[in-house]
Amino acid sequence: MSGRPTPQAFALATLFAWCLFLGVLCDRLELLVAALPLAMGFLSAACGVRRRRFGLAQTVSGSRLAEGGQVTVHVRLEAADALPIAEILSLVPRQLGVASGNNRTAQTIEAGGSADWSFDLDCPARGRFDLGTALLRLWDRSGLRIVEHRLTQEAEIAVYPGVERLRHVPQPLRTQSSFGNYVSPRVGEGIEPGDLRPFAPGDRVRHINWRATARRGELYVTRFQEERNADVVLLLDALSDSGASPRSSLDLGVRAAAALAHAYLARKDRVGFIEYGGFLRWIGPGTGRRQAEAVAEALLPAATHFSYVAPRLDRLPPRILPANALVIALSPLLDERFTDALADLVARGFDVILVAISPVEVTRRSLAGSTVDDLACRLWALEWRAKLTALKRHGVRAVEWDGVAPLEAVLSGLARTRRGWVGRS
Amino acid sequence: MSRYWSLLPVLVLVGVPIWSAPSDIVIAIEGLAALFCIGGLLAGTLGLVTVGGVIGTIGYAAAAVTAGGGTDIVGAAVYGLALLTLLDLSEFARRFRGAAVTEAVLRAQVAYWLARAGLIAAVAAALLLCAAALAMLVPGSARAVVAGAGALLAFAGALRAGIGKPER
Repeated sequence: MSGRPTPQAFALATLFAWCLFLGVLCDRLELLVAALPLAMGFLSAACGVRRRRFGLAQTVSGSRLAEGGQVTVHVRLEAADALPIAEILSLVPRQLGVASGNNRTAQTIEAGGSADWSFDLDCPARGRFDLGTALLRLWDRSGLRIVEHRLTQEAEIAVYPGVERLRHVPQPLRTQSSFGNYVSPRVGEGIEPGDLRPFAPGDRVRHINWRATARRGELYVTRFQEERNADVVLLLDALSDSGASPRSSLDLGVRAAAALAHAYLARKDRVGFIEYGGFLRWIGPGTGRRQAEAVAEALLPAATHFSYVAPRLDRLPPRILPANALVIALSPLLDERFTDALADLVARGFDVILVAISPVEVTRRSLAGSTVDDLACRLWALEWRAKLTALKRHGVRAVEWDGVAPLEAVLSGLARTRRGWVGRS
Repeated sequence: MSRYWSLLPVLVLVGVPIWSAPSDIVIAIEGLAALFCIGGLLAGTLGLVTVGGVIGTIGYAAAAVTAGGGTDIVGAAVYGLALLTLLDLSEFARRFRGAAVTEAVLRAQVAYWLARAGLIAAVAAALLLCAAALAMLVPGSARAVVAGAGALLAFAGALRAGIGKPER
């Protein structure tokens, strides 16, 4: 541990030397006497404690929370030797804000004593944040000497995107082979009556349709349509972003993806995720809470990475993007590469739904709101809607979302138009 | 601690030279020094405060030369103490601006400053007594040599004690 002189020490030395110089130059004793307190100030710095043993522990109240949540950081400083002034700055990532308390404090600790304090942090943005780094400055009482330390511990928190509960989601056109919530055209075990046929040996007695049997004079059984699940792949456009965090178009896309994943997994569907950015990142379709966890973890670091490369979805293995999957794309439609990829998916026969996150509204919210801004946004909105209309002409079912209206209300239009027959190819 | 407490030593810094020799040039220099000091306090810049101290000391030298006559030892000691206190207060306020400073820190720091001021006053009085005794014992031709050597020794000792001593 080696201390260093502070700027105050140099200022003091300057004034001391200046007093001496002027005293000799002017041949006046007053200036030499005036230099005496400054010299005593230097001498007082020599009386400080030299050996300092201490330990700093920083803990957080929870390591996993949702956007908008709060976390409490507890800091404890224990000192074996006296610390005249210990200044501690707990580093807080810029995405987080101090809600109450102070992350920078100055404490006096006696030998063998300790100091505790805590502060609350607002977590408005998703991500993984390190809260285990603290800067410690040990000051002399004279303020002329300082010892600095950087202490790092394991104290990481994960802020997951907030999940909006969706009761109604767009239904897939095609189902898979596992049990689920969608009525499939395939007959078998189920609860939805589908067809009648004559009784055959092996049929269950409880499937006999007594009304039809009485009318036709021979045994008839009711055939049931199977309830099957579907594959849903969430395709997040991370090629571009607009607006300010935590309300940027990418943040809205991540929140929508989290809500859709949660809703489809609750319906026993298999849900996969593809981040279409500077590079492709994906997790294969799966079901259950483990998959919900995997999707949440995959959504956490979603960010734009600049690249000239256009990722190719046709190079993904079929298990990642199954042929019968419902693809829900979430995009601000700012990059041509993504719109080309969507058109390609539609051309290959995929069932594609586009949730177009309006970059205009997202950007408008982060602007001052002048007349020129408003005019520019209106022109941009016209151009953007023309692009959306062109995609609809390609066969993409699309809805526009401004991030203010509830996602369920936006999706309800799609749910109505797609309700009805769910087939299996 | 509010940075406005630092205005007290600024008042002393400006007041002592003007009180010693209230001439126009001294008032002008001290006014300039006060502007620099207050600017440094408001901006939280140690450099401006130091420049203010340097200019104030020029003004004090001008006042001492203008006044002539006997040496105002008490005024000089008060002036030096004001310089030291100005640096301490302004730096303390600047250093911990925005931080949560506990009452214990403030109490201990104020007690330290008061104790140091008392010690400085005592040492200044003791040194002045020694100086008076030496003035009687040392012949006039050797006084300048003794004074210069003492000043150099004090400077070297202060530097070594304040910033040059390695930690164990």
